Order: sequence, then structure tokens, then C-alpha cells
Amino acid sequence: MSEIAAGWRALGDMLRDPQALGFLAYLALVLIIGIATARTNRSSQDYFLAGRRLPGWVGAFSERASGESAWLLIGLPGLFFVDGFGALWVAVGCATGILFSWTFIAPRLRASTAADGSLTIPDYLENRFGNGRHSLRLVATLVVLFFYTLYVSAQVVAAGKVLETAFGLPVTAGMALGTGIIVLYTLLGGFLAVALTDVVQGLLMVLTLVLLPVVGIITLGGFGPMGEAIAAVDPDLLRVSAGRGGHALWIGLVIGSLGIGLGYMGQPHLLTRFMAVRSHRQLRQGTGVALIWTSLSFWGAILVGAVGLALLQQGGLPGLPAGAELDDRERIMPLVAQALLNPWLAGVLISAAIAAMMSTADSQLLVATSAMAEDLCHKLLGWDLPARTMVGLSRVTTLMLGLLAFLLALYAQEYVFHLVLYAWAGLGAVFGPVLLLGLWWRNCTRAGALTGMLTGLVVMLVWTRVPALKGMVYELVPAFLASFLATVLVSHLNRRSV
Amino acid sequence: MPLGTLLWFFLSPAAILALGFGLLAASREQPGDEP
Repeated sequence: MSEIAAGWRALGDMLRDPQALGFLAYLALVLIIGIATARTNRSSQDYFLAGRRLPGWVGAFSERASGESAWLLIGLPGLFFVDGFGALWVAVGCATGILFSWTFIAPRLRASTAADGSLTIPDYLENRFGNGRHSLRLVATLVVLFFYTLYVSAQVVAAGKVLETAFGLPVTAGMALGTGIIVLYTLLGGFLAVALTDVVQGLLMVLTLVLLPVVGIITLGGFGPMGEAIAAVDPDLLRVSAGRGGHALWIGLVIGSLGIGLGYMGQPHLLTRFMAVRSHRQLRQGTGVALIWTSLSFWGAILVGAVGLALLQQGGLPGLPAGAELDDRERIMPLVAQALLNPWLAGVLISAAIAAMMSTADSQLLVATSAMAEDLCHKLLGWDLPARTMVGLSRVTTLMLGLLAFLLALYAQEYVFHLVLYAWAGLGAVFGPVLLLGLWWRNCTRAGALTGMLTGLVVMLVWTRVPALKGMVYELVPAFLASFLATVLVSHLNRRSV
Repeated sequence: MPLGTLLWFFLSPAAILALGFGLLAASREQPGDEP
């Protein structure tokens, strides 16, 4: 009871804090979007894909805001403290993966799924490779349900922590507030509400990552003085090699960082954005918007870290003397915002981190819902319900999965954090190669696809368990390659034996 | 700031944008696509 009372007290305090008021206004806006779009959901195609009527630019903002969690605003600036401008390799890897995904996966996936009526990625796989006792759908559905429940749960935990740091809300109350808002607008408005809130969230994210470095570099007196301050900490931070050489540079930093980008091709919560775009022409528009967003945001995030380190060195961050050590380097973005901007604007920009989290969690929640309601109940168990009833079932599923994610966050936090580390690589290795080959290679077979998916999963799990391998290169790189090769090999043998 | 780092910082996103918009310009409209 005392926790509930503390939660209400903290909420009361938020109403008197101008920084928090901006955040509460933002929450009200996303709820209004949920209510306003509720009536558009008449079928599963509406609830899971916004009726395939999304304009390209909305699809782009939705894919980008869903694709980047709070990691982009908090983690990547923090990475500058370790790798300096070597963090650029991560930006290049991610941007290349996003570019590849929009140009090589999106057009064919959109066209195929629109033609055969697929609503989900497991749906597409079964339609592309044939039924085969639902083997592909079953494996794909289980993988989606497992990883996305964990994913949403990890975002709930992060929401609790950020709301505590930003507004002093008790962690459990923050988690409940974050989950409640996300579940409510997703349940009401389905994909359209999620996509429209993504536009607001994506705009807030890019605004933060452009405004902070520009103001920061002007404040520091340009790139020269900023570089001098960073060099005083460690001159290697100014090098693209991060002061590494040989194996550690090329395999660890370059290949490992570039490898993160491979994951984009296999994330169902991003791939469904492509499927929802209205037309091929709109998809081309979306590609341009997504690429500009990516260039501004990723490179901006690295500059936020650079500006933060320079300010820290000069004693320009609130409450920290010149040259102080930062206990938690992921605090750097909020500290830079507080140092450079007036409190109200800083509050809005810090809200961007929460927006980033919400925009990722809502898309993941909807994909998990689609796996449960559409793939499991409708297609695997054969529940043939009227369209309106299916929407009702999906809404109940969203609520149940939201509740499950919250309970996991509350009672199994360590387990969630331990497993969610594998989610990006796991989904990337299971779905990426199979989708790429399924869309581009006519001779790819069901047996090849199934073997590839399982191989990707197994190699990823083994690689993360062996410290010598884990330390060598990011597990997604070998898992993706193994899955790709297994799909090609088995498809080839399978064709010959037919 | 080392010149190489500055060049890499500004040229890497420029190269990705150029590649992306180049690929877009090279890709054709799909048959049956509504205007």
C-alpha cells in the first residue's frame, strides 16, 4: 500500500513540475491519438497493418522510431566515452543495414505480402514456402513470441528507470505508468495509433539529436576546442580506430560494429512497417525520409557524446567539477541537455528518451499480439472468427501480453535482462537470411528456410555461451552467415533430390 | 581535431545518403503499382 501511496504522491508532484508537465502533455497526446484512431480498426488487416494504407513518410518515421530504442539517445552517446570516434563504425553499420533493409527487403516484401494477403512475417513465410504442416509458421511464431515478450518487458523496466531518474517517480509506478499508456493506445488504435505516435516520437528523437550537438559545439567554440578538450582526456578517442590495431580493430571494432546492421533485416516489428505502406511509390518516399533521419540521428548521437565529454572535461556539466569521472556514462545525454538548455526545453528533450522507448515497445507489443492472435489462434489452431471478433480477440491479447511483460519486469527482471541481450541477434539471424533469400532467390525451399532459421538460432546461442568466441566478434555475424549458408546448401540439395 | 576523423565523420553519412538516393533513382516503378 505504501508503494501505491508513494506513486500517487510522486504523480501529484509531477503535476507541479514544469519539466514533467511537458512529458504529461506528451502522454495525453499519444492517448488522444489512440482514442481518435480506435474506430478505424474493423479487421485484423486494420489492427496489424493499418489497412496497408500508410503514407511513405509515416512508414519511415514509424520504422525508424520503432527501430531505435532509448539506446540511440542514451547508449550511443555513452559509447563515445569508450570508443570515441571509433563509435562511428556502429553508425555506419546501422545506417548500412537500414539502407539495405529499405532498398532490398522492403519493396519485394511489401509487394509479395500485399499480393498474397500476409499479415505477419510467419504468415509470409508460410505463403512463400508452402504449408508443410505449418512447420515454418510454428517455429517463426514461437521465436517471435519468445523474443518480443522479453523485449517489451525490458522496455518496461527501462521506462521505470528513466521515469525515476527524470521525475523522481518510484520505479514500480513508472513501469505501471509506461505500460498502461502503451497498452491503452495500442489496444485502442492498433497499428495506425502506433504509427502516428511513432511520428511524434521520431520527430522528438531527431530534434534532440540535432539540437544538442549544434548548441553544444557552438558553446564549446567549434570542433577545434572540442577536440582539444577530448584529447586532454585521451587522444585515442579522436581516432576512428579508437587507438586499437590488428585483430581488435578489424574483427572486434569494424566487423563487429558493421555486423549490428545485419539485424535490421530480421526484425518483424520493423518489417511490418514496410508491409503497411500504401504503394511502391510511397515506399520510395519513405526510404528517403528514413535515410535522412538515420544520418541526422546516429551521427548526432555520437556528437552528443563528444560534446558531453568535452563539457565534462571543462567543468561545464551541472554538479560535476572539471575533469570529473562520470559514474554512469549513460547519464551523459540528460546532463548535456540540462547544461545547455533552459529547464523546460531540457525536460522535453529528456522525454525523447522515454518516447524512444515507448515507440519501440508499442511496435513490439503489436507484433507479439499478431503472433498470438493471427498466427497461433487463427492459423495454427484454426479459430475462424468474424473480422470484428478477431479485432476484439487481438485487443484482449494486447492487454494480456502487456500485463505479462509488466509482471516479468516486476518479478523476473534479471532473467529478462539476461535473455533480451540475445533478442536483436536472435531475430536477425533467424529471419534475416531466410527473408533475403526467400525474396530474391526463386530456388529457396521450405526445408532450406527451416534449416537456416534453426541454424541461425543455434549458432547464436552457442556463440554467446563460449567466452572465447563471444570476445572475438558480435554473435550476429557468424549466426547470420551460418543461417544464410545453411539455407542455400539445404535448398540446393533439396532441389536436386526432388 | 584530426582532419581524417573530421572527413570520416562528414563523408560517411554523405556516402550512405548518396548510395541510398542513387539506388532509389536506379530502381524502377513496379508494374501494377498505383500512382
